[in-house]
Amino acid sequence: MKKKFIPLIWVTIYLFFCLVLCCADKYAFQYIEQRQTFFADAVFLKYIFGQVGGTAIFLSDLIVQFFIAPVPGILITAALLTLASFFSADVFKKISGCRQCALLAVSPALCCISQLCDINFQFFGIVAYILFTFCLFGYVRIERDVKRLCLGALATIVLFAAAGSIAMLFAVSAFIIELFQNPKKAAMFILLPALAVLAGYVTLRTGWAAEGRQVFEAFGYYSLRLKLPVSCMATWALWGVTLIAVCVAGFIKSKKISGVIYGSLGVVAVAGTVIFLLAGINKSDKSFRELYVHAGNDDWDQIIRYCSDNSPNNLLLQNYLGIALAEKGQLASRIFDFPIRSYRGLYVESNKTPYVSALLGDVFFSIGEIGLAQRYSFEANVAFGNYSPRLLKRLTITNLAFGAYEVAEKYISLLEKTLFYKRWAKEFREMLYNDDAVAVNAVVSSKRKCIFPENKLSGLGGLDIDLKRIIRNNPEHQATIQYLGTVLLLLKDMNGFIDLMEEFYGSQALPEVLPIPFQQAISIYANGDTGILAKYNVQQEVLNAFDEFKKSPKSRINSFWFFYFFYQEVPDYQE
Amino acid sequence: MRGINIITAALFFCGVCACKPGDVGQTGSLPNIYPDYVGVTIPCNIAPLRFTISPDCTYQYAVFRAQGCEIGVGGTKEIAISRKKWRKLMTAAAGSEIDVTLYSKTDDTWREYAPFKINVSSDKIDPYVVYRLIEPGYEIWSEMGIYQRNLENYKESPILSNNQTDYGCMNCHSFCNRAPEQMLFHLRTGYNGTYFIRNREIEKLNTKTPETVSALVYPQWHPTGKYVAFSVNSTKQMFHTSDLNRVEVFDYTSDVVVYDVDKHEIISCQALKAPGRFETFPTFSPDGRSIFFCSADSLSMPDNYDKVKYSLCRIDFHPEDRSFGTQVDTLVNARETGRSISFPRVSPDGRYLMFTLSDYGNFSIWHKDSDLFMLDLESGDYHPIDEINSDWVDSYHCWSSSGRWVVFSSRRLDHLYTRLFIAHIDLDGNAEKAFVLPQRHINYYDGFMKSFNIPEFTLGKVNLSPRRFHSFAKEDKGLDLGFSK
Repeated sequence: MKKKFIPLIWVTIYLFFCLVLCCADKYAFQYIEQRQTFFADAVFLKYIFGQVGGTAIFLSDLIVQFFIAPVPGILITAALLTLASFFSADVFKKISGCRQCALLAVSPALCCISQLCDINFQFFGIVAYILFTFCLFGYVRIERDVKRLCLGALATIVLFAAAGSIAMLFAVSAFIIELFQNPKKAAMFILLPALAVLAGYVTLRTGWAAEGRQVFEAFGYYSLRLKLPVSCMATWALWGVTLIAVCVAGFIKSKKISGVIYGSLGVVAVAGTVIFLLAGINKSDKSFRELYVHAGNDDWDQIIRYCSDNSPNNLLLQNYLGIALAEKGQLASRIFDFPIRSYRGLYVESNKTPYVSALLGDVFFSIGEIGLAQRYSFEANVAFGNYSPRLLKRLTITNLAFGAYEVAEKYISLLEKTLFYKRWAKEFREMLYNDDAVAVNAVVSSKRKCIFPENKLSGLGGLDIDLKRIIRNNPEHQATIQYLGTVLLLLKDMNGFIDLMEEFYGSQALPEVLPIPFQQAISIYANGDTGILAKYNVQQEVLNAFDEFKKSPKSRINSFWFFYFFYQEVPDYQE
Repeated sequence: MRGINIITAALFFCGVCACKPGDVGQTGSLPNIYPDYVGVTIPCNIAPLRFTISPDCTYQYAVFRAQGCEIGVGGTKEIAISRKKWRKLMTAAAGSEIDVTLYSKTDDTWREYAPFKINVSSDKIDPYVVYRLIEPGYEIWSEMGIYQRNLENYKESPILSNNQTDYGCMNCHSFCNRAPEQMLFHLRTGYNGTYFIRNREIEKLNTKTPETVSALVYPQWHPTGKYVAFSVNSTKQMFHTSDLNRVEVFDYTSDVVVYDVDKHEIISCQALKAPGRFETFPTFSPDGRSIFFCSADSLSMPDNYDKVKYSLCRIDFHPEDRSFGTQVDTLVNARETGRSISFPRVSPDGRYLMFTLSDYGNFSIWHKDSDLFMLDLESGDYHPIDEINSDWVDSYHCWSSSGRWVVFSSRRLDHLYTRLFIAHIDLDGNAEKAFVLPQRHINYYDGFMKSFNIPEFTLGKVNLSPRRFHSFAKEDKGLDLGFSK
């Protein structure tokens, strides 16, 4: 192969990575960015460098801050994976003397993409992988055994401190290479894995690290609070198998034969990894990430569009749809256009995970329950490690709404230390200790009005009581009554619904012509009573449609009528 | 050549550091420094106080004068006196005061502020304070741990972090007479139990008994180390809709018990678990012959959460035969105060009792209206400690072994995260202006996202091997406690 084609090959590999990343999950990067970013703050840096693998975390956060849109995430990550593949390819070529082995280097890097699509993976695992390949790239270039041993030992320790458990992979890889390349002296290279074990042991002993899996295994790059599947080790396992395969290639005397074998093997490995990767992506997680990102960007149209194209089949996705519909003022009118058939589709129960807490923070913010929005957003931020820019923004707004300016100032000061949120933070700084400035900000002032004056314990007596208080205090906040009305419909609580209409119809809280499902509910309740129908201005078209429904229920499957009368019998109709 | 460059650079750097004010305009006003150390009283063995005049000035300079010792310190962002200079200053100023004159430079104009004093008490403070670092959250936490801070420098080290205990909650650390060798704390999930550590020996206890309403909760050691008074609480947490206090924690029921450390038995008496009353926050007197505790009429919860008001009570305790007195004295009656008492702690000389007073309930660490009060146990008089209270939460407190210092938690800085403040208390029980626990970086508290919780002084460093503790906690099943009827 001519040398001039080599850059072209790497450009092709880079584009290939871009393509795979795009297919795998282009929103994974923004999802990561919304959970963590980089703060130019001494305490933040101290916190980062105080962890095992602090340098990798630091570099990771530096990189992640640019993932504010899908494209930079894809381009940057593809470049990093290409770089890792380049270092690995050089290692493989050096070991085997077979240029075609280089293709095998792409597979473990591809496998990293499957980790990226894991909701619990931390991006610094990718950075650690690059640092590992770079160290190995340098290691195999050292000719003299003693020098290689000494520098290998140094690299093991430095890599452990800088990037964490990947040092174990480095040490074991170096030892495997020595076993095949330098069998007579390989024994002394056992020092490298021994050093990695020792480094891990010392950190455990001193309490710097907590668990063996954090310092010895690939689990160190995942959220450790969870029980993790063995598949988290896939990249390491694939790397090990590939390395051994490449080492074996060194024993094949005919370069031509080894070239054909390993070239084919490389193609198969890449194809296999891509298939494994794309097939292994959890579709629900992917959808959740996408909607989480859109919600973080207040991109409600995208959420509605997504849910129109892909039926939201779990409660978390339905919750995001509910928020989007509420924010667009369509919740009450379009709820039955989507497969939300339980009030849990509008707000799930907390399961104390950061994901659900963040979601509930969004839900309650949309509803106007600012106390609960603040509670859940705070808890999610805590669980994500305290530095989620998306949640810090949310907490800034809730605290401004409460008039807790000192707390808001803390968050604003932090966000001012980021690259991409400082403008937002400076804008919101204007509202600190300035009620007039708050009053002219549409979002904050609206949410402030939702905080009703008579304090009580949240949920005491039922959420509906709190929501009615919000509506009375801020009737213009349409999302609250839309949520409450819709929840009552989903509970088939006709008395509660009519009480709601009784109190708020004719006020600012409800339009003169009610949303269609609300009219449908009233038409049921009225049971032909023209006085009630007139009182709530139920439209003639709705009454005509009700007549049609009575004759042919199937013609109105996406109606409250159908839900009310037949929801339990839906399976029959589905047949 | 390289050496010359280094020397030149060093000289230049020293020149910059030694930059002193030229033509100075007098402001006549006190500087608004952060953290606020103006007029505070500090112990002579405290870590250097670092502060800033204003982030907007281009240079700031401080002159510290004490008993013939004069030290000038300058900087662009902060006045960061070195440890060596600080020690020199402390040696000179112990028992007297430091005069501090500050200068700031903005747009080539120097300003001199009115000088202020820092009083340096020759009363030393205990060298360590132990606290829990935790986010002020509710149901979810990430990493939390019990940490110790050397007050003579800035060194903080973990005693135990929850990443070594399956990420469970850990709380209520308590020391016997501030001895680092004798402590206890609870782990609530994962390896749940109450852990006693005595001279490196660890003991795990399962403290829920059929006779008590819960596992053991708020602890205070008996001075002999043979007993620990605990509350047992059936607790619930709820959230405010509109109040800045955010969260409310209240008891459905609660009692006070005493744990016999050697016999592994819980003892109590009718007066400490009276029907129709909530009893909580027990603490022994320094002579070990009285138990102070908080007591309130039990009301239907959660509807009456803001009507529960705790009084301060006392009952005799006879350590020799584990018996209790029959009479309960009410020292401060909630009916008189109209407010609620929590966290009673007696000074080491037994003369004073410091407590937290808030509008209602016992979760004063979240109550904006919480303030610290001092009760003279001889006269029965009590008063708010205005010198150290703020308009935000001032709550959990601990006396130093000498009784001349208290450390307490306050949310006054940012109204959310509790920070530790230290105040001097003189022989007559008078407090002086409190200062925030000094840190190496002046903006430490701005960026730090955890609260300092349950500060407890210790006389030395706690040496607990996290690894050894982890192995023990994981394997040990724990000892079930008995209840002596």
